[in-house]
Amino acid sequence: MLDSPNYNEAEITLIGTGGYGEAILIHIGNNNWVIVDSCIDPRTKSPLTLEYLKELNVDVAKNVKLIICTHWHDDHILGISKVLEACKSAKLSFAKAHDKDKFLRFVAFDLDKARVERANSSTLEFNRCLDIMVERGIPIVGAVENRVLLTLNVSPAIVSKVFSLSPSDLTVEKFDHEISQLITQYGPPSKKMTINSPNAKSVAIFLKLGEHRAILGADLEVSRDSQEGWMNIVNNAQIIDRKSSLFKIPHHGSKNGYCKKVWDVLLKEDTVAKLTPWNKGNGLPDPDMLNRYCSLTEKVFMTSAHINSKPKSRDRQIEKIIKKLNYRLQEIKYKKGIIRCRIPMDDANSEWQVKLMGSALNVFSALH
Amino acid sequence: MSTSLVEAPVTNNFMTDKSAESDEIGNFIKFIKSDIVANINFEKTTKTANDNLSSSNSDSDNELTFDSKVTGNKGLADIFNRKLFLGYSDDRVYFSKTQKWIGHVTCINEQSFEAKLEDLTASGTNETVEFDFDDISEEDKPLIDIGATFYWSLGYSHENGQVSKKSIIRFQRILTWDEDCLNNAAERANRLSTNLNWE
Repeated sequence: MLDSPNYNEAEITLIGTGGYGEAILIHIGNNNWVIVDSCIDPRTKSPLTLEYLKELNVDVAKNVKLIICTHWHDDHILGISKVLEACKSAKLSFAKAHDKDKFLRFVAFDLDKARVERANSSTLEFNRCLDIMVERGIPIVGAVENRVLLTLNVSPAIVSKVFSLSPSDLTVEKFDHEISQLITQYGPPSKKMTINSPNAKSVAIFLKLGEHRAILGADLEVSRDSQEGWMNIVNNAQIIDRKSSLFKIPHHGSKNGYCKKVWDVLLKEDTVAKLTPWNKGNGLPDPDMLNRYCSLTEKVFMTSAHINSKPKSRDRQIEKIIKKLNYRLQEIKYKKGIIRCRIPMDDANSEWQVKLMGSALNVFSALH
Repeated sequence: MSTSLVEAPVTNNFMTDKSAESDEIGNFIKFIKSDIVANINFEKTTKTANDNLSSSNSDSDNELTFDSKVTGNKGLADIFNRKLFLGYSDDRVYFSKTQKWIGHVTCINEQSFEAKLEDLTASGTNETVEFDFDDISEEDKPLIDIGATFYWSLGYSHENGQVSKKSIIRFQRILTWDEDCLNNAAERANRLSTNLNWE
């Protein structure tokens, strides 16, 4: 059993799996929790956020107040409908669509497609979530730049607030247009629908946790247009009142997710930076990026090391065929790692206490 | 009772049996139907079923069940193949030691494409694979596209007494939407639009 945070302690816990996604748990005070995204154990299909909260003995039906789906991608959404189902009083938040009817038509058409093509599980998850919200009659909170998603008065001296920093107004507008095109060009059911650059629609989050600030980068990238992505946040985030001391590095530390101005303008020196790797293809982050992050802060943590994967172990005769026919197969390894950070919300001089669990590692120490 | 060999596995008789054993056999028949039958030229025969296949229901000459003593402890699919085809003719074609995946294309390169694979033989972790275009049949090559779904099967092919290693990649053919599907989707969208609340 894990120890629970104190009523006045903020906790930001990043759970990574290697290649099966990531999720974040936030304790905003008084045993109230926010869940950002969802990932599962691929062997049991069980959502890892619920497993973690169970270990803390949290009554998820009562104490989880908000679930944020940063974007509609397998590595951020798998298991989220189970999480929502268990968290009976939670609100659900995802990126806002201007034309809601058009967005729902798109979702409904894609559901038909997902039923044909079993690999398209993100659509099934998202649709299940919508059904649950209809059943509960709880409003959906549309996330957009500079919006308060949740406020909690922990004590007379401590206020916790959760904000969305993105998507920008321009991104939301573009998404409406893209949905129109996708519906018009609606392909055959044997083809998975692909949304262009979905990472631009990611919901980046800003947290005010008493005296402390944190930014969770989701998969948001730097856009060519300064009215989108990280540059829009640097230039237009009116809600950011002071520098953050904790940063969830966006998009598995990819080059596209790196924005120097974010580090210069929005983050404190020696900020706690944490990320999850991506063990598919060439993998993320690449060593150059890890070195760059370590040049910016000594507090860089990752949920697991990048793994050069081999094919799965299976029947010896099948392995022989794979080898003989020279197929380039790689297992997407499941490596659960947890980076837990806690800080007293009412003490401005306090620092984040970091605890690493499972496969999680201190990247700076490993490289130096 | 007289039943043709090829008809026996491809009718629904095995699949409608409620026992878990028959479900497994039914799934294996679906597997054979989905990929292997499409690629291997089965020779029809009129020979009668042997002792391994017996009538379970006297009301129907066509209803067959798999003799439980046949299943033993070894891989059911393997045994099913052997028992089904041995004793009929030596020039049958069957697969043993099969491994199957469903995949979808994630990236297209100059000479190859990459895909994410879900293991249909042993669930758990997923895999990625890179295929050369030359690995794909000429008729399937035009179907390679980002998001396209395919089935991949590996196994040992037993043909005319010869054993060879086989790999079969089949891209999902284009299905068409019917009016009902589109109406259902539109109705769902309207229902969601009416009943969802937004803050």
